[in-house]
Amino acid sequence: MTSSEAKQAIDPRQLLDLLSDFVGSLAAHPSAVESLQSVCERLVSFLDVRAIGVSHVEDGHLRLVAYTDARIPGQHQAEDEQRSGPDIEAVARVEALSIEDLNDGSAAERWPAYTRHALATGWRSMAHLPIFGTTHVSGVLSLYHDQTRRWVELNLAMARLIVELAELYGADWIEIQKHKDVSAQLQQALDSRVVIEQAKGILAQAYGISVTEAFERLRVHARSRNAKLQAVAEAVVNLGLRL
Amino acid sequence: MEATAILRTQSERAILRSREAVLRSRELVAKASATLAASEDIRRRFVQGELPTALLRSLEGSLGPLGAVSAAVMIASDGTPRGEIRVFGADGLERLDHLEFLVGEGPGTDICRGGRSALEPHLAEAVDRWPAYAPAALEAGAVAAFAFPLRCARRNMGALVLNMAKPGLLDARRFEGASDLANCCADRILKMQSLARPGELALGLEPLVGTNMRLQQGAGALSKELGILPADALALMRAYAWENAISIEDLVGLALTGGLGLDQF
Repeated sequence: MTSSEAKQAIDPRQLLDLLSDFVGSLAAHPSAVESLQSVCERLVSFLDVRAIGVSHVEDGHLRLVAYTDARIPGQHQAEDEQRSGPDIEAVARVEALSIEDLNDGSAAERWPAYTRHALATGWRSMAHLPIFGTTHVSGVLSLYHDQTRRWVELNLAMARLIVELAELYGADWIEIQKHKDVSAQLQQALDSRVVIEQAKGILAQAYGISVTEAFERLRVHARSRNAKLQAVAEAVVNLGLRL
Repeated sequence: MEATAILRTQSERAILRSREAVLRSRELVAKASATLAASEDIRRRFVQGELPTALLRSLEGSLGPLGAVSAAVMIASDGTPRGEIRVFGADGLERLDHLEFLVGEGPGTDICRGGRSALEPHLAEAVDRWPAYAPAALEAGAVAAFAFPLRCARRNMGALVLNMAKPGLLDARRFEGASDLANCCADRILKMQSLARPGELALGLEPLVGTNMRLQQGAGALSKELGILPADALALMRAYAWENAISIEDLVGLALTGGLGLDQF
């Protein structure tokens, strides 16, 4: 197998293209996970690697959240079952691990089952970079190649940075989405209350009853017809329904 | 220096700058996490029945630092104010309470309609903008008014309104403090509402909307009496209140009993 020459320096124009693509992917993919997936796909060609995977630390395990090659889930599962492998170690030691040649014996000594699986699957070199969350390591970025490879620190730092930015965006997106949902629910609840209160006033005036009694009539009518209270109130206000 | 070395140096600088951006973003996210932790405390207090006063406490605590004599939080839907909760730092300002609901205009109302900010350092000079609100607020003891949006996903879900007893602009520190308070209030309101069942208003928000909802009851009753739309009835009620200088409670009471005598309109 031929040794792969890693890029020694990042071309600023290529970096600009990557960052433009990155921003574009964040705008095009509203879902955080889709954005991360899109970023990983772009990084594959930028870094000239065969595959990329991103896992999150959840309940003491690594959960694969994005990957660009069908072989990665199997590799991930092998590591999870054995509770041993470079991803787990990179997270535990909070340190980047790069393996130039899986076949040189040192990887097999540290993670025998993982290395056997990786070689059988066709991988020859790997790099595993912890991803930093707000206060701790939140996951790991894994790069795979099918040839031996000398990993360039600058390129790895760039890849990690891009993924961390995507992760931060994702965290913000989830929070904003949650707020948007609640805000829409609040708007709907307020609109609904306005029409219900108006209906109470109309019925109170129409029958000379209190607003409490008017509300009870609305409620009983809605329940007996299996209708929503708001729908009954709207009928009272807009269609002249009297109860 | 060779071209490749220059490119490499430029790339490294770009990475360093990006790394700094990430660190700043982390700080922001850390702040958000702290807010989230605080919201857990809010949730616990809500379960214990303490929450309806949480917003009031935030507002009361802000009066001194922001130099305000009264502060209110308004919530809105469909660009219309739907509720207000207000605190006072001095006696004799009570007529500011729900004044914007009574006259249908003012700084908070402008924000609820989508404005970015409503900053009037001299209400005496804002009579053209708010012909009903400005004189009434001045009479009630407010000389300046500043409103800031309660934002969620680029939309205004309400407003923070500050009233001052002295004229003059907010300095940069107070402006920033007011913006932060508005964000905090928006966050509290959303956290409260997140505890409600779908379609219902959170229990903790009831004190905000109570007065406005009674106004809607009155509008409903008057609309039935006069055979007009509730929105038109509300406008008539406001005109009546303005003419007769009565409170919302009295206004609603009269509307529900047919005592407004507006059938000549």
